[in-house]
Amino acid sequence: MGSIYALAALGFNIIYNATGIINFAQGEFVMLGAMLMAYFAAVLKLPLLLAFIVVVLLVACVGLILERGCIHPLKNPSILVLVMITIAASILLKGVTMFIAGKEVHGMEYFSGENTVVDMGGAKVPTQTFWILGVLGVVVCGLVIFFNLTLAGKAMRACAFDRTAASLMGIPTKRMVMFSFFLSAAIGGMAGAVIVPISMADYQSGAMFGIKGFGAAVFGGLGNNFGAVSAGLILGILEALTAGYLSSHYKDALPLAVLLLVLFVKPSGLFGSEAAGRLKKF
Amino acid sequence: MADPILELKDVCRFFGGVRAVDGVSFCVSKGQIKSIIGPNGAGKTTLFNVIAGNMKPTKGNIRLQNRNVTMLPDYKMASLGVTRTFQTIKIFSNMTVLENVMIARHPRSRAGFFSAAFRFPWMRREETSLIRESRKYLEFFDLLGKADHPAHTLPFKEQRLLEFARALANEPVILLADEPAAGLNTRETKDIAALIKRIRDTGVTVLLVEHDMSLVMDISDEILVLDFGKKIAEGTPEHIRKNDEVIAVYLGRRAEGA
Amino acid sequence: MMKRNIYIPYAVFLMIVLLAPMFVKNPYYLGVLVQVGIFSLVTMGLSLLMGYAGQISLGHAAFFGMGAYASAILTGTCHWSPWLAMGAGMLITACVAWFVGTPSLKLKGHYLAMATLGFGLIVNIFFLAEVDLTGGPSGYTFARIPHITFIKWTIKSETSSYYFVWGILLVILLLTLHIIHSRVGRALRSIHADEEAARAMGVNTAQYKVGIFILSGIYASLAGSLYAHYIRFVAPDPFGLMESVLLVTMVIVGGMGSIWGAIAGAALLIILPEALRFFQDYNILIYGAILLFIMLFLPGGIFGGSQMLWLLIRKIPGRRQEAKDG
Ligand SMILES: Nc1ncnc2c1ncn2[C@@H]1O[C@H](COP(=O)(O)OP(=O)(O)OP(=O)(O)O)[C@@H](O)[C@H]1O
Ligand SMILES: [Mg+2]
Repeated sequence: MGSIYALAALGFNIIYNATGIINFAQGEFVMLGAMLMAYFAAVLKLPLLLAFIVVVLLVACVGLILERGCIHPLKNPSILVLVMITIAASILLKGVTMFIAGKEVHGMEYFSGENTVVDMGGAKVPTQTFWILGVLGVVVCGLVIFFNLTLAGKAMRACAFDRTAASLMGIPTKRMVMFSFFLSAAIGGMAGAVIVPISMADYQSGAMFGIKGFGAAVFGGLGNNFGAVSAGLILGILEALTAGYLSSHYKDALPLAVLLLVLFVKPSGLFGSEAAGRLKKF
Repeated sequence: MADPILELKDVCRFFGGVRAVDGVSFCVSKGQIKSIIGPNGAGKTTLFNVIAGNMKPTKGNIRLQNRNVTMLPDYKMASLGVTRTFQTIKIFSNMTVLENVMIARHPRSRAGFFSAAFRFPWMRREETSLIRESRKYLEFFDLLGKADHPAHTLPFKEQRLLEFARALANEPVILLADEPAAGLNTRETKDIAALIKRIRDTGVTVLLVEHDMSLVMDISDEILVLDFGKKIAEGTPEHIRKNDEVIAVYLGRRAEGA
Repeated sequence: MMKRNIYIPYAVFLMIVLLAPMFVKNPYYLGVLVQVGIFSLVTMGLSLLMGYAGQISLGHAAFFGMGAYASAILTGTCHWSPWLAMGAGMLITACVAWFVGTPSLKLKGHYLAMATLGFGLIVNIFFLAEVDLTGGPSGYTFARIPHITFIKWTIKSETSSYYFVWGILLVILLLTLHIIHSRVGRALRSIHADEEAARAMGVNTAQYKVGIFILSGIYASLAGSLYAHYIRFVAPDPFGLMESVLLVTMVIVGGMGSIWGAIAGAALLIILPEALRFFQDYNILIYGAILLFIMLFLPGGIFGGSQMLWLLIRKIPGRRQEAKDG
């Protein structure tokens, strides 16, 4: 579970870094990924890898459309407008999903077969866990390489650091914004696609993914990708612990409480300092 | 020195490693116009922020009329008589010109949620006298004709004037003005100079930050020079004009910049 | 913002509200209007918070729910008088709003939005989880929530509910208009424009922000109590995240910075889905589309939009300046 939050948090960070926008529709990307994956793999019975790629591309395109249709036309919008517009988009995505897929809960079997588990020192760990961790690992490595070694990645980091300066240097900041939505939607889609075998999804599950992902992002210091991954994992473990030892009703409340606490006590996050807030390294 | 209104002792403000204000001490006496000058980034605005309570000093001590005000927040400082105008104009653009000035009377009126909701008679009287007083300040600045205009429709210079009207309506003991002539032409700058003198003549002490040297030399009783957060000179305009270190700082920077 | 004429629109509105039942005889439609009244109460408070003080809250449905559950539990389980329960609900809500608002309102923008959203979700989880107290997901079923009595009338029929709810709304509306056009209203708007400058003028912005947050919470709680006694059943569903978003949508659609806009927004977003009832489940799509449309094309809301149109028509000289400065 924690990996999913980590992935969602990464999605938040990518858009935040490029634009300063918190995308309230981030959770919807995860939901879409999950629903589409369930559809392609379980209903259409496409091969896993193919289904996965199609899903990720589709969700990424949704991200693109979102940016083109909603964010791009705005000229210096207020934060309230941005918040509400991404919320509106998320409601719309939810509505469309419900319209097409109905209200039922969708799921699918694990990537390595029905309910397979690996025995690890007595504890039975579902094989899907390894798939999820694997995808997280690949995404993290991919981002490290992208941001540090490719020109586009470096350009994006420059945008995050200082947009005006970056655009003066000839970096197409507009295109970077577009790309950040594409990338972050793709990551959201991946998260959804790998999680759906473990926790089933319906059209409403986006909100929780979104808010917990944001929790992880803030917890780790907004914009700080290393922090996001660690915080996502911590949050997942915390949640598992409360579900185990406290009441399962409150399993969703705990990450929220942590989120509030972090916001109140140290809004710059666990791994962030105020000055370093905008100077993120990966 | 006679009658110090504001007294700073060894005031420091650091941002991480940046020593924006570094061990500055000085006094402002009653009825003075005192100017702070220094190159860009010398720490002038930061010093104002610290005095006005907007930022806490990292170290040091600030006294206002012999009262320790070092750690007081900005809204308390305002009600104690430290009022400021900002380097970048900060008027309330969603209100009328008159309402902008009325906000400045906030600490001197007392209607709260409850009394406002029920419109007690005293609250209505207070509102009427608030409007009357505020119009008086607008008149002083020749803005009365535009009292009901939305503040953001004023031209730049009048927005500056409005900021001054608002500051004065706060009935300050000391007015901190941060680059009031920035963005104005020579003639408008002259008007501002005359205005600041008029303000001083109403009994308000003025602490001024300004880059326009002729303005500063013209109206200041005393000048303080900051460079890299440190005070490097203090004295009358003639004294400063002759000070070698000041000349070095200014000429040196010019040479670098060229 | 002229003080002289706040009573004229109020009087007109008062007449409309009093006379409306003469034209709307169908009890079903009257019931819709009762709901408009209840929601208007919430959006009025939210409009004070968002439109005047410039603070976002995505958790207001929680306060609405707290009022509703307080009334349900205190009258149903504890057999209190509805009026006492209503007061207790407002008191509890005020305390919670103070407790949450004090740290939250130090945050700005996105952070504030997320903090209030998180708070709203936690309260909703509480409604779901405390089965012994609230009845959990299936709603409060331990006792039927009683009708409320006002002096000697029992508020039972749609007509009496209409006059009761709108009567309360009219009183609150008057008080709210007074607050807006006062020292307090000015202080709130100054916070919206520039917090730092407001503080420099001696406005204790932190205190005002929390104050208005509490007040808007109290409005929502009162509305929740009215809702509980009108519907006579409460469940966690109508007090969740979607509802918070809906409330904010109402305020934005109506136009921020105008109390009238808040009422118009509530009316529109309640009446419209009723009118388009055959869409049923696809409400959610419609909301999303309306919200998106408004945000993209009319960020000032209906009121702001019509004002802009008015300005365009009259071509007042201020506009050019505005364009240049903005
Ligand atoms: N909030 C802040 N955080 C970090 N550093 C700051 C902050 N405010 C100011 N500084 C730094 O402190 C130094 C002094 O800045 P300040 O604005 O006080 O200069 P100034 O003398 O007012 O300059 P100018 O003449 O351009 O107005 C600068 O190096 C600036 O970068
Ligand atoms: Mg400065």
